[in-house]
Amino acid sequence: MGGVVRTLAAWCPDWPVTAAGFGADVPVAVVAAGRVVACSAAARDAGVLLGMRRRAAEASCPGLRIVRRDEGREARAFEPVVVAVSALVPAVEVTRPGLLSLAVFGPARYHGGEQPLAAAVAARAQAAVAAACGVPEPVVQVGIADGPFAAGLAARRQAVVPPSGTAAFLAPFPVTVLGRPELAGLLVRLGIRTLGALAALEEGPVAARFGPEGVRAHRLARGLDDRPLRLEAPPAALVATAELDPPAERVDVAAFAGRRLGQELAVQLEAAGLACTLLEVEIETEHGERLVRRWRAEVDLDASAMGERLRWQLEGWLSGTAVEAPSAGVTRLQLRAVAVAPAAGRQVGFWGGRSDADRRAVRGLDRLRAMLGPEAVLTGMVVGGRGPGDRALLVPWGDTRPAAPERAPWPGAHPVPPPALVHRPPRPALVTGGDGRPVGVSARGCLSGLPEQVAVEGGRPSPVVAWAGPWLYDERWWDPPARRRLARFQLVDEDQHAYLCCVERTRWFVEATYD
Amino acid sequence: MSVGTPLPRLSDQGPVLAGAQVLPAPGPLAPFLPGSGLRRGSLVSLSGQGKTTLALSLLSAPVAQGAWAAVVGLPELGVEAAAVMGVDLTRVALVPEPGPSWPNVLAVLLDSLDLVVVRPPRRPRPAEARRLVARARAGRAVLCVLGGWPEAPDVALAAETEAWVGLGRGSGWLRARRGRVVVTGRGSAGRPIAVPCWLPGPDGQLAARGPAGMAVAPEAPEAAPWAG
Repeated sequence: MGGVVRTLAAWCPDWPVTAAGFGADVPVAVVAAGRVVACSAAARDAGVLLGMRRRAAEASCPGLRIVRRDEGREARAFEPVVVAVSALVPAVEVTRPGLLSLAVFGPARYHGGEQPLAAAVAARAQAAVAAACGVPEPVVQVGIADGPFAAGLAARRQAVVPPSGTAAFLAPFPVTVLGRPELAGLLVRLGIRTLGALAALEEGPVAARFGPEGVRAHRLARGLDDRPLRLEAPPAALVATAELDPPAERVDVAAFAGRRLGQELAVQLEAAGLACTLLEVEIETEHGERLVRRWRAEVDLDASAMGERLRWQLEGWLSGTAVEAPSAGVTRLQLRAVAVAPAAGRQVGFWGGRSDADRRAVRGLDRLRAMLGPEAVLTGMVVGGRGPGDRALLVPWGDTRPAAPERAPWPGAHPVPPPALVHRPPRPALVTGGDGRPVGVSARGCLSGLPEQVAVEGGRPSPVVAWAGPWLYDERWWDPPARRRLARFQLVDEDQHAYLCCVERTRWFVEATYD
Repeated sequence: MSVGTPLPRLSDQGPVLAGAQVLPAPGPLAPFLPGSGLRRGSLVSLSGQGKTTLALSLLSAPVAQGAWAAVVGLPELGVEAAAVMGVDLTRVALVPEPGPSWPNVLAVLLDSLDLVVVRPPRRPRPAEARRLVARARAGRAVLCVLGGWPEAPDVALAAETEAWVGLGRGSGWLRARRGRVVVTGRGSAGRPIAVPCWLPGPDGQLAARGPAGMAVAPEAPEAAPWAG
């Protein structure tokens, strides 16, 4: 495993909840734009899902407390934790508020081994979280493995993976943990569902079929670093700097001045055909103080992501609660790409550009992509899968589009016509039988009663006039954590609203609507 | 408003629509639309139960002939339903969450694409709506709106559901929806016309439903082909 850095990751589960000052036992959901973006363990147990609408979450968990998302707060609250761990071990890198990593090699010898180091970091971080957020006994999970990616997963399992045991540790994880949804979708469609299955492929064919993005995923799956080592140090200084005159005392003023830095650095990177994987944020004050923090990328950092890291870090340093607050105004801001990888690249020529109308359309969509970010403008394609949500793949506009699938029959897929609206996540519903109790389905497909009424998201119950089912699904039985047994139904209510529903134990959801 | 004179039939125009004043509309609806299609620069409103299926049906013909389209503000759009409707998804951009600056998003799309379907996150202010309609006219795009819009549309299409067929009580599966589309135009075309149609038919596409009806969906249920 030459060259892979033994890495420790410390992870605070549900950080947005903790940062808001709530413990895991309080049912809390953090909401942004009307959707749940994080929730506490108590809320999760009550059936709150990420991505759920606020109203649906409140319906499924009575007494749920709703907190508005504040990324600044999350960054501010995490800074003291980073400072506390930095006091123990130098060279701490932040991946995002709630997750940090550090190289183990030297510190482990100093602390007498990896286990004692993990325990020391966990204790230090825990104390810092408790102090910063006012949460008694917060959860901090620490894991050690080869490379930051594997360490992040090890932290989720609170495991110290032995050196060179990383590939075996990673093998059972699904490919979705790579954080590259479009690639993962393609791999799953080809039957490559776990990192182990991906690692078992040879590198040559992977490169030929999936390009640089695939090669990086393949390296990660084998427990290697995701980039060839010779590119660890950037070939030239990739730096963007802003001098502030007058010096900025406040976060918003400094962040405003730093807005263009992300863009500038992104332009330099693009010109070099590189993508930033480790970003260094540095500020200098009137009194000559220098503060530096490194942010590690989960996926490549684009201009807006780099700008966001800078803003988060400024929140951490300059807000009133900062531990290491500088004594004077900020005079200089700097972003530097410390480690880079070859850019996965955008396949030019997909969507042609032949006629004037085509060029105009492509220009417009590129502009929109620049306005809203790369994940906001998508194209859809149909892939194999059983559930209505599994059968659509959304690919960012301009990214490599996987080859169109053959129209192969997919056993168990729901029939034509497909529903015009597919709810992600499914909308909670209640289907009751003649006795007024929720209809349940046994493992053998027997119904506890016939569906008589359906109510969607706590709405008015409406009589069911036609229905069919249950169609039983045992999904991902090979992958215990992701395994789902569910039964699907089609229902039509009195007003001729037609739904595709599923029931998991006795919990009902509307997965899709035939509008 | 008036947009040019009636134009040559689409079948004469070849594959590229760039010069055409009218985008093709689904077969069953075309005869009832001014200019037999969707006039560039016009505002089309879609309403009623079945409006999403109706919206998808409007996309398929123009996109098949080389037009570019976008669907904005509809995160739950059924991609598979669109594909089955015959929509070439490589020429349709999806902007599921346009965010608070959605009028600007819409403006960019109306400048550069041919057909934009939008479900506005909120009812736009009259001035905003006017600006966007003017943008559509200048960019020669068709703006299709699902939901509230303060201005009267050039063409209003209202889907109505009569009944789903194919589903019994514990048997069969949803095969087709019997319904109609009420077309209301402006001025001389102002009289509402109800067009009976399958929304969608058993092949997932919008189909005409003559007085004789269509041989579809025996109400007697069979075993679903995908079960088991």
